Amino acid sequence: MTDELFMSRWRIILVLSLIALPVLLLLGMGAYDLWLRGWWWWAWWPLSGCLAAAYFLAWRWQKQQKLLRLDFEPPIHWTERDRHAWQMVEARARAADHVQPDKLVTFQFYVDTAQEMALELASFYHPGAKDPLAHLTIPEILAVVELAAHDLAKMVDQYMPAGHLLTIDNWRRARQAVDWYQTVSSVAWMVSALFNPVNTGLRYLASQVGLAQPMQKLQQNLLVWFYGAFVHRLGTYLIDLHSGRLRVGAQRYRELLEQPTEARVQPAQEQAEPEVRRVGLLFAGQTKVGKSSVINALVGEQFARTGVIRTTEGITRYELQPAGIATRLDLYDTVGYAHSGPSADQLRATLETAQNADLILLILHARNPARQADIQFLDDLHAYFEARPHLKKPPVLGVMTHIDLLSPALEWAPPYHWQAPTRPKEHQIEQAVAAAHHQFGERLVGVVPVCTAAQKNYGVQEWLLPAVAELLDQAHAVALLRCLHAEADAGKIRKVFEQLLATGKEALKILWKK
Amino acid sequence: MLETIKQFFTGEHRHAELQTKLDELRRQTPIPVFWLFGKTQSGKTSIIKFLTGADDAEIGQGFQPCTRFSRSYLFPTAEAPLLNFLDTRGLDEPGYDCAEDLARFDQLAHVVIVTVKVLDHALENVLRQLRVIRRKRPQRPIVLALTNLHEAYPQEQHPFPESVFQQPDFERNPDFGEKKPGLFESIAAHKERFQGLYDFLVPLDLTPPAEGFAEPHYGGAHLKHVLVQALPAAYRQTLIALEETTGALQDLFAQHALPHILGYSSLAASAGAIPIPWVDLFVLPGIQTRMIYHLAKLYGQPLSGERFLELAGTLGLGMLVRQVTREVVKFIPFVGSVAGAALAGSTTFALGKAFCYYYSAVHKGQVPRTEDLRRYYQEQLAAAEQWWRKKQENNVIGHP
Repeated sequence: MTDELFMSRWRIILVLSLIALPVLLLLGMGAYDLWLRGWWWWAWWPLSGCLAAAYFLAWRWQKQQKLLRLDFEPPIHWTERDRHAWQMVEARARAADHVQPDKLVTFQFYVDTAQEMALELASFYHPGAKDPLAHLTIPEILAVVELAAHDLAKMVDQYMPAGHLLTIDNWRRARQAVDWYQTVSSVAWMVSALFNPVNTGLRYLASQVGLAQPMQKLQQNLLVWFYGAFVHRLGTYLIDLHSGRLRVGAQRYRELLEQPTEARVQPAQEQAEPEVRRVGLLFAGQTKVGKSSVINALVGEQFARTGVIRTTEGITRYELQPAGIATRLDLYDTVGYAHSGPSADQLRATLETAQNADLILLILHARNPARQADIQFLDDLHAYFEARPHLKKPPVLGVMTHIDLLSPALEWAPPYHWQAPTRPKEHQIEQAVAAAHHQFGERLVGVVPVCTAAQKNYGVQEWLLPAVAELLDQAHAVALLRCLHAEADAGKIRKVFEQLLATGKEALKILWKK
Repeated sequence: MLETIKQFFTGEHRHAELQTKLDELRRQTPIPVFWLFGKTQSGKTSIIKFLTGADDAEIGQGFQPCTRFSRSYLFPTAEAPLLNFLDTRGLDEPGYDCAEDLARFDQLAHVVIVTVKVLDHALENVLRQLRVIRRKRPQRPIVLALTNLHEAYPQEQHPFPESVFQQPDFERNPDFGEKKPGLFESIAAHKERFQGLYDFLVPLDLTPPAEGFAEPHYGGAHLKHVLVQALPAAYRQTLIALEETTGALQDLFAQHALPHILGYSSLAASAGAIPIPWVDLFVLPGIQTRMIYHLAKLYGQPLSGERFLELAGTLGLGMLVRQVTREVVKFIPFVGSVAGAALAGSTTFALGKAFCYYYSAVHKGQVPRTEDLRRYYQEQLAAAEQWWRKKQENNVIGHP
C-alpha cells in the first residue's frame, strides 16, 4: 500500500517536473534577459501589480466566501432544538477568524476541537447530565467519525488538485515551504540591494505593502475556510447523533439522505436536485366540516386514479402516484372530531400520522365559529411534538371552507378579492379570516378561504396552492405539483411552482407570519 | 315615633318601599323563561330577535351575566320584564359543565330551546350536557330548533313551503327527500341523535332581510306556535298578548313602546291580584308613574312624561278614578282579586297607550284635545279590560 503510493508519487513528481522544467527555464532566462537589458525595473512593476491584484481579489472574495464556500443550510428534517444546536456550531466556525494560523495547521487542534464540540453539544442535548456523553453507543460515535471523515475527504478531493496524495507531512511542509520562500526571497532582496540599492529599496517597500500582506491574509482565509468546513461537518453529524438519527448506522443514514435519482424520469440538468419520494399532507377538522371535499377539490381529476387505503384507526390514506413520476403523494384524511375533540385513540393515531406529514391542513367551516375543539387539537399537536424534540412539527395551515354561505347567502359571483374587500361578501370573507386569526393566533400560519362545493369550486388554485407552495420547501412543492398535474416534465412544473410562489408572496399575502 | 311618621311621608321611604314591593311583584308575575342552549352562532340571537322584535344592539346591551357561562336578557327591561331569555354562552368553552347553570335555572326555565345548525354534526358536547338537563327534569319541554336551513341549498330561495316541516315524519317523504337529500338526511340524523331529548322539532331559518330571502322568518310562525304549546298555561298569555298587540300596530313609536307597556301592566296586574284591600294603594300609582317616565325616556323626551302625568291627573286617567272601585272589588274573596288584577292591569295598559297617543300628537306639533285623549283612554281601557278578564279566566281554569 505504502509502496504503491510511493511509486505513484515519484511518477507524478517526475511527470510534473518534466512539464514544469521548460516553463521554469524560460522563466529564469527571461528574467535574466530582462535584467541584462536593464528592463527589469520597468517590467517588475506591472508583473508585481498583477500578482498583488490576484492576491487582493482572492483574499477579498474568500472573505465574502465567494471563492470557497461554507454554504451549509441546516437540513429540513431538523427540529427547533437542532437549529439551536446549529447556532452553537456556527459560532464556533466563525470564531476561527481569531485563531492563530500556526494552530490551524496542527492536527491536535482539530482533535481538541472535535472533543470540545462533542461535549458542548452533548451538554446542550442533555442538560444537567453528569456525563452527557455516557449514553452514546460506540457505533453511533464511529458513525459520526465516519461520516465527517467521508465528507472532508470528498471536500479535499473536490478542491485540492492531487489532494488524495496529501499527507500530514505535506500539510506541515506546505507551511514550511512558505517560510522557506520567505527566507529565500529575503536573501534575493539583499543580493539585489547590493547592485542597485535605490531601485531595490523602492521595490522592496512596494512588495511588502502590495504583495506580502494580501498573501498572508489569503493564507489565513484558506485555513479558516478549511477549519470552518471541518466544524460544520462535524457539527452536523453530532447533531444528528444526539437527535438519535444515527442509530441506523452511517451506511443507512447516508442512503436515507441521498435519495437515489431515477434517470428514467430525471432529465440531466436537474440531477443536482434530489428527487422527493413522498409528500404527505394531513387533513384535520371537525366532523362533516368538508375535509373530503377539500381533498377532492385539491386532487381534481386525478381523484379517480387515487388509491384509497383505510387504516385501523379510521384514518384514510389517499395515495396518488401518476405513471412516470417517482413521487407518491399521500393525503391523510383523519377522523373528524366532534365538539369536544377526538377520542383518545383517534387523537393518538392522528398525531402519529402527523409525523409523516410535510404540512397539516386544518379545515374550518366559515359559518361555524365554535372552534374550541380545533384549538384543543392544535394544542395537543403542539404538546405531542414538544415532548418529542427529535421530531419536526409540520406547519399547520387553516383552510376555511363554505365561504359561499357567508352573507349575502344568495350571492355567488367570484372572483372575490377579499384581501382588498369592496363587495359585502368580500368583507364577510375578510372578517371570517380575521376572526379565525384572532381565535387561533400563532397556532396557524395562515387561513385560506375556499369553496369546494360542486360547480362552485373556488380558491384552491387561487389561494390554497400558492400558500401550500410557500410552506413546503421547493423540492416537496414541485413534487406535490407534479403529482397533482400528473406531469412527468419537472422543468415545466417548476415554472408552475414559481408562478404560484410569486402570486402567493406578492399579490395575496395569505400567510400571517413575519 | 315622630321619625317613623316623618319617614313615611318622605319620598325616599316611599321609593325604597316601592322598590321592594316591585321586586316581590316581579317574582309573582308570570314571566316565561326560555333557556337557549346551543353553540356560538347557531341562531340563538336570531330567535330572540324574532320573538321580541328588538334589534341587535338592544339585545346586546340587555344581556346581563348571571353565571360563569351564562347570561340573561329580560325583555323589554329588567324593571318590568315580559320575557326572560337565558343564554348559555359557555357551551363552546373547554370543560363546560351545565351543573352550575342547572343549579341556577332549573326551577326558573320553563322551556329549553336547543339551537343546532342543520348541517352541523359536531355536537358531542351539546348532547352530553343536554342529557344532564333532560334527566334533571324530564317533564320540562325541550324544543329542538334546526337553524340555517338555507346552508343546505346554497344560493337558492327556500324550495319548500313552510308547512312541509309540520307534517309528521316529513324527512321520510320521498318527494322532498329526493329534491334536497342532504337536508333531509341531516334532519333524520339529528332526529336519531336527539332521540328522547326533545319534545318539539322546529326546522327554522331566520335571516336578516338584507340577505334577500323571500321569507325571512321561515318557520318562525311554527316556532311561536310550538313555544305557546310548550309553555305552562299560566305563562302562555304573555307571548300571545305580545303577538296580538304588537302585530296590529302601524305606528313605530307605539310598536316599540308596547312591550314596555305590557311589562308594566303585568306588574300592575300582579299588584292588583294581591287579595288584601288597600295594599296596592301606593304601589299602583308608583308603577304607572314609573311606566310613563320610562316611556318618555325611551322616546328621548323625559319632560313630556311629566307634562302628560299632570294632564292625566287633571283628567282622572289611570290610577285615581278606578282606585276606589278596585279596592272595593277586593272585598269579594277570590273573584275579587282576579277582577282587581284585571282592573289594575288594564288601567296601566290603557294609560300607557294614552301616553303613546299623546306623545305621537305632540311629536307632530299639536297638543291633543283633552276630550280626545280621554276618549282614547276609555277605548283602550274597555278593550284591555275585556282581554284581561278573559286571560285571567283562562288561567284560573287552566291552573285552579
